[in-house]
Amino acid sequence: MSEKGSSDRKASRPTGGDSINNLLPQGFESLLPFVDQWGGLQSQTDRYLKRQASTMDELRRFHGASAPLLEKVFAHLDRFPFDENLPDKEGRLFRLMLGLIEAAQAVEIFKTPRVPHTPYPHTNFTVEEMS
Amino acid sequence: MAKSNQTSPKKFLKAKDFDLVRDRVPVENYTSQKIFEEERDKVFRPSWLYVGRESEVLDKGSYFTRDLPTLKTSIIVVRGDDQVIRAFHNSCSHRGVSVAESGCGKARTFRCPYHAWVYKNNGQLINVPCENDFPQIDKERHGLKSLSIASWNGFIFVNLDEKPKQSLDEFLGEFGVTYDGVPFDQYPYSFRVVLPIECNWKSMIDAFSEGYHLSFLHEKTLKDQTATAENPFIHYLDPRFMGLHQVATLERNYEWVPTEPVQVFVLNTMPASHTLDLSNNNKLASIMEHPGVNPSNVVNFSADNATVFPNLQIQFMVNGYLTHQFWPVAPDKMIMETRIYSATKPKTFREKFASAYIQSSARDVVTEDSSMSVLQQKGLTSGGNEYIYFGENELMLRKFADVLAEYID
Repeated sequence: MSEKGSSDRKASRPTGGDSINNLLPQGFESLLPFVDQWGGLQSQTDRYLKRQASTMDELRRFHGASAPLLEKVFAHLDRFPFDENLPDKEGRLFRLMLGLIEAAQAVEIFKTPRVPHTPYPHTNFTVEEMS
Repeated sequence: MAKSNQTSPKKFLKAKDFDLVRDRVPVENYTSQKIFEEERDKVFRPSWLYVGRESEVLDKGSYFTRDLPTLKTSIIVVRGDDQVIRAFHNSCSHRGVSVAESGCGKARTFRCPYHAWVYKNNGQLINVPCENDFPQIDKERHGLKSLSIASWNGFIFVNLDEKPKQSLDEFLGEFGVTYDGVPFDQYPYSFRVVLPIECNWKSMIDAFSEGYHLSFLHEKTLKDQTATAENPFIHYLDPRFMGLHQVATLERNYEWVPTEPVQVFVLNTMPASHTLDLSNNNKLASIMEHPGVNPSNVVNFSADNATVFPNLQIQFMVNGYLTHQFWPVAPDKMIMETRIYSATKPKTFREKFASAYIQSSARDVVTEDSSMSVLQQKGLTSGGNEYIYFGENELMLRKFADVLAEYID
């Protein structure tokens, strides 16, 4: 991680009894370096803002580490009942993947963190699930 | 090409084929306070305005609130205990406070939080504390103030006119007849994006009424999925003009295959019934079976884009539909609401991921458009331009400007 990453750690580090090695389910240790930055972001807007504030290098590292694991991640997560809350570690892993969505927009589509010609930060919309 | 586009050249129709001669409009149409007020008073006030789906008020007492920002009107749409769907101003007869909290829910009664006046879900005023102190209030005559309301195919419209000049059916005319029976109810799941934009409302309608910009502005997002060798500038095909309203067909490039890993994963994950199923060119969904949708049988059909005057667009898609709604609030300010409807909800975390991806990419594409409209407003306000020009290929924009002019001139 960059120096910036480690300085942000204080603010977003999950609390409780978990040690750093215990934050993700077994087999996903390679994603631990991204937990501080992405694992705690709860909303699409938080993750979109994080993408806008990241450098391309940061986004490429995150995308490069996590995109190849998509199949393995969802093979694991889809063993849990969909209508219940995921356990802490799995919830964190799922939020990392939701973060990957934003990183992928930058890395795979735009080749730049922000939507071109759009003022930064761009937040003035709301998204609402209906049913 | 494996699946060639069978569209015949006659479907590449241009403005001149319809005598749409309005090749420019004055810039002030997009900047002037006076024209904004005329649009508000002469177009929005007497028109039928879409506010929501009947499926949002399925049960007795279910309701939603809606703001009509152009008219500064706040309404409640509620299904009464008698099963009748009504619309009311969200305003207590006493001193005007909103009686329903904004959002949606179920209520047998609405109780004003200020002095606890209570209304039944049919609007009737049933309780006034210390009623003796209000000899001027006849409960029979002081229910919630209702608005004219009507439905078409599950779409609920209201009209600010107490006695609308036209019924909703008359207002929708040929459009309503052509698309009667489209099974919108088979796509009950939706998400909604609300986006305030610092631009004139017509700029966003214009953006969604031509495909010309897709190859350029959306070069990274939509171009490859949309542009074909036969139609590199992505003209909308087969324009159909139906009174105030209009529809045209948009193609998709089914030869496009994603190669980036997250895109590939999403494509492989989306259930076949998903709204934006990029992989599926089969007419699985019944929306496609309706004779009004894709009437010229474009093989690589992507969507029919309908503009329902004055401020609604409906896109009929292979596996669902979406609505865009455009609310002017000032010459240079608008609010856009987009809803994307699909047949099924995600049932696994993998599908939830794919659905979240679709939401993010839809947001980014709309952001590309809205950012252009903001820059457009800045340019128009600068004062250097006299006109906005509409090409032969921008015939839907010409038609919309024609219809507006009929109301205002």
